[in-house]
Amino acid sequence: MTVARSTLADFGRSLSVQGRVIHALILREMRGRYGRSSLGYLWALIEPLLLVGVFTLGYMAIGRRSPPQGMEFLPFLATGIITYLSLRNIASRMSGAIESNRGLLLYPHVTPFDLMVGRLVLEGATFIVVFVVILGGGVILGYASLPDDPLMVLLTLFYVVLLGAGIGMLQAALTMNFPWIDYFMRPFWRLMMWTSGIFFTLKQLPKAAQDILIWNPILHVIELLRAAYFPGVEIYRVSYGYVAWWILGSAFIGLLCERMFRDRRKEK
Amino acid sequence: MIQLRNVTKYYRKQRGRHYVLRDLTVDIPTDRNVGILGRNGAGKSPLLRIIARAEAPNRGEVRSSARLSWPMGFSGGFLSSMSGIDNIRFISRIYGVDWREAVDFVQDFAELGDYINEPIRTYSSGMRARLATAMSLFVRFDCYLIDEIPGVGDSRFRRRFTESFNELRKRSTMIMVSHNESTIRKACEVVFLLNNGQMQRFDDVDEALRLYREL
Repeated sequence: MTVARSTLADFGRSLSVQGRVIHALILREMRGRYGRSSLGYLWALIEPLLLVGVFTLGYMAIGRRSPPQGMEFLPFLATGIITYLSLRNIASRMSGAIESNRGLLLYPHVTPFDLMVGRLVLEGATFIVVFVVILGGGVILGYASLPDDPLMVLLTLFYVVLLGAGIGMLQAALTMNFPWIDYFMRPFWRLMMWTSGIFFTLKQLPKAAQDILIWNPILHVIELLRAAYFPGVEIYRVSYGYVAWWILGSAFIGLLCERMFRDRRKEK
Repeated sequence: MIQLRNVTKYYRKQRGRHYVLRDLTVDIPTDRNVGILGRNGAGKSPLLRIIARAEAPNRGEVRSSARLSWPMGFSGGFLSSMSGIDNIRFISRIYGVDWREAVDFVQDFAELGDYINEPIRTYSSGMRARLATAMSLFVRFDCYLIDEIPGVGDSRFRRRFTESFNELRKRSTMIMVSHNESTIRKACEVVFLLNNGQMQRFDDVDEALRLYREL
């Protein structure tokens, strides 16, 4: 009995230490990312806002056909662009977390895992805020209608954050052991930009192209997000289950690599 | 008491493993000041990091009943792109102490002046050491892990440091790693000799120093 109780108390204590560490890390990352002025937070909005704005205006100006299934330009592009940018940010910020915070690993209760979680929470929260602000702005200005299923939209946004966490851990593990992989990250994300269904829907493509792109989990989350947002859009060939495999698989491999190569990292 | 049980630590080098600790089992007291002597490259700093749990051993276990400081020395511990005050905030938060009081204490002790708002990378090594020392004194540990003595700073700072350290010795102890004989002789009651991945305990400091010279 007493053993169980003390283990539980120990667990509670480590949990509160972990919470304190991650809280401190998030505040530290906010400083690092957005600087000291509160205006700094606006910077997180500017890149997606600019891209969404430019593409929306561009599409409308050239009088291109509206997106299929009754989607409006702004939310159609915003769901794709913001999701893509945030996934890229989450992954790259997480994989850089250890390198730029190495000095903090000297404190016994700060682990590489905490460093990554700190950045994940901050980037994930930023993603959701940016999404709500841009689409909220669209609704107010009349460029977008309210989401069909707001709860499902929110859940899918969390799902995107989880996918980002998985990709981030995988990218961290890979670049840690094979530094040359860093050179391929830029072209990789460029490729993802054109194959994740940001500017098109899966249904518009010929069957052969669909069969290839269906492997891309980023395409899945973007399609799922649109299905939740727009009343007329049905889920077509994509699934939450498939993305779940990616999240679990990449997190598993990422954590496994972290454990295997834990001692190698601190030598530098 | 810090208990090391079958602790092995190695680093991977170009040609195989370089062992710094080999199946080491030892009890290090935390109720007395302890010195750890070893030649350059004997693995003193890794040992201190392992004791502090800043680094995990490849094999074996480390247990401790005392509240230990982070390994204090010249390297690491601060993020050089962040200001002194932001570093103080971070350390206060992870150790659960009030950061406003910490800033007051550090300013009073380390006298960094306006530099406290500047990034750590603009600090001299003396200022860094003063900041680290002040911060660790504020957090209050049972046992301080010191990588070489912070013999930096001007005489005024050294006097204050000695004063506060003497005050500290009433309630805290230290484990100090050094290859400087006189600092060890002055401060320590127990000495361990670290050689070939093993540690030998001496309660007679002079005997330890004699053997150390013969290494």
